[in-house]
Amino acid sequence: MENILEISGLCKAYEGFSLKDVSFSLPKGYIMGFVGENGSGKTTTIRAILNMAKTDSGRISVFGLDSVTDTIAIKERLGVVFDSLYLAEHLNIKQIEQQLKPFYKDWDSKEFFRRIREFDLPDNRKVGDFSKGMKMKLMIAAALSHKAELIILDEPTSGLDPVARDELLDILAEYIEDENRGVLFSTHITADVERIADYVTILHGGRVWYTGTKDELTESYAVVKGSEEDIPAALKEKLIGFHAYRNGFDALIKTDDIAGLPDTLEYEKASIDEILVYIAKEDKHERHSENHAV
Amino acid sequence: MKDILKIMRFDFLTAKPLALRAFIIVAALFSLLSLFFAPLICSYITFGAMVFVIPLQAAAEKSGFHKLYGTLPVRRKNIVRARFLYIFLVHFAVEMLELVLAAAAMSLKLYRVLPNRNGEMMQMVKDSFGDTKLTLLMVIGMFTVSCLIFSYMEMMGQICGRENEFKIIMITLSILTALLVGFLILSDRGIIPTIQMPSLPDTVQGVLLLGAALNIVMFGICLIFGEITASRLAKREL
Repeated sequence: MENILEISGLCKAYEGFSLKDVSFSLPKGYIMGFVGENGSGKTTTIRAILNMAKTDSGRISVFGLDSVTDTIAIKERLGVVFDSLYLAEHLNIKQIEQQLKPFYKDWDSKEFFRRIREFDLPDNRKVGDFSKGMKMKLMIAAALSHKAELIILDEPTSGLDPVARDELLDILAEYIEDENRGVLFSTHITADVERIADYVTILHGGRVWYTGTKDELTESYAVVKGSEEDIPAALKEKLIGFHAYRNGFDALIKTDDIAGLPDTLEYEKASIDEILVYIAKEDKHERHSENHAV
Repeated sequence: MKDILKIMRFDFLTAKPLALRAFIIVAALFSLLSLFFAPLICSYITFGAMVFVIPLQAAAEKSGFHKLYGTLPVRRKNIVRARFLYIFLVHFAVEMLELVLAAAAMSLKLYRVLPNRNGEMMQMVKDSFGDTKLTLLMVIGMFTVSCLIFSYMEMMGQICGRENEFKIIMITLSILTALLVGFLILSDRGIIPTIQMPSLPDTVQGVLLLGAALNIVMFGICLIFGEITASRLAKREL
C-alpha cells in the first residue's frame, strides 16, 4: 500500500511539552483518526506537517515529498480545516473565492460554488456571521475545490451540534470514495473516529501510544471488571488504568492477556473512548492512590 | 514574484470592502476642495491610502490569517515581502491620483466660478493655483512621510507584536527627539560641524526629479524593511 502521509521519528520540544519520536503513516484511500486528550500533541503534529512548526528531528513525507523542502508543492495538493475559521470574516463567499482562487493551479470555481449550494451556504452573507457548522463546511468547500488529495482536519467537530457533525462525517466519507485520497482527522470525540476512521493513531503525552487499524485497536483491548482479590498476581502489572472502588475494580487489558483471567472476572471489548480514559488513568497513577484509599 | 503579486491581491481584496467607502469619501472631499480652492489640498488624499492599510492589519489579526498563511502554497518570506510592497503600491497609486488631480485643478482653474472674486481670500486661492512647485512638494512629502511611517510601523508591528505599537511609537519618537536635540546642542557648541540642510529645487522639473528619486528611495526602503521583517520572522513559527 502506498502511503500518502508518513511521519518518522518526529521530535519537537516546547517549554513544558514535547513530541517524542512520533511515527505513523496513512495509506492512500483511508481515513485516519488522530486522537488523544487535549495537549497530547495532535495540533503540534499537524502544524509540523504543514511546516508551520519547526521540528527538532524526524522526517515528514506527504505524497512522497519532504514537508520542509517541498512545502509549496505539498500545499497545492493539500486541504486543511482547522477548528476555527481562518478566512476573512468580513467577506462573503464570493469574495473569499476571489481571494483564494489565484493560489491554486487546480482551483475549480464551478466545483466551489456547487459545494456551496450543496452545503446550503448563503453566498451574500459575511462568513464571520456563519454558524460554526457553516464555517466548517465553507473550509471544506475551499479544501475540495482545488482537488486536494489529502485533507487534514484539526478538531473539526468540536463545538458542532450532532446534525452538523453527522453532515461533516458524511462529506468525508464521500470524499474518500476516491481511493487516491486520504484524510487525517484529529479529534477528541472518539465517536466520530469509531464511525468513519479506518486507521487510528493515539497520541498520549507527546508519544504515539497506538497506531494501526481501528479494528485491530478495538480487538486488542478489553475492559475487565470484578473483585480485586480475583486478579491473578501475574496479571496485576498488565492492567492499564486500574481503578479500584468499594465493590471491585475496572481496568483495561490487552486481549492477549485475557486467557489468564479467572471466570469470576468479566470483560468486554473496549471502545476507543474507554481506551483513552484508561490510558489517562494509568498516567495519573490512579492505581496507587486508589489502592491506598481502599 | 508571482507569489508576491498573489498575496498583494489577497491583501487588497481583504482591505477593499473595509476601506473603499472611506477612501471614496476622503478622495471626493479633498478632490473637490483641491479643484476649487487650492490644488495642494489633493495631497490629503494620502489619508485615504491609510484606510487601505490600517484595517488590513486588524482583519488579519481578527480572522487568524496566520493559520491561512500556513495552508497556502506560498513561501512565508513572500507573504511578508508582499505586505511591504502593498503599502508602497497603495501610497504610490494615491500619489499618482493626486498628481493627476493637481494637474486637472491647475488647468481647469475652477476657482473662477466661485463668488466674491476680488476678496483677499480669493487672491490667496488664485496664488495657490499658480504655485505648482509647492503643490508637488506637498504631494511628494505626504507620500514619503506616510509611506515611511506605515512601512516602519508594519516592520516593528510584525517583529515586536501589534500589541506593542504604542510603545514602539513612543520609543521611536523619543530616540528621534533625543538625536535631534543632541545634534543641535553639539553643533551649537561647535563640537560637531553644522550641517546645512540641502535646499529644495527651485524649478518644477527639479521638484519632479526629487519626487522620482524619493519614490525610488521609498521603494527601496519598503524592500529593505520587508527583507528585514521576513528574515526575523523566518526564525519564528506560524
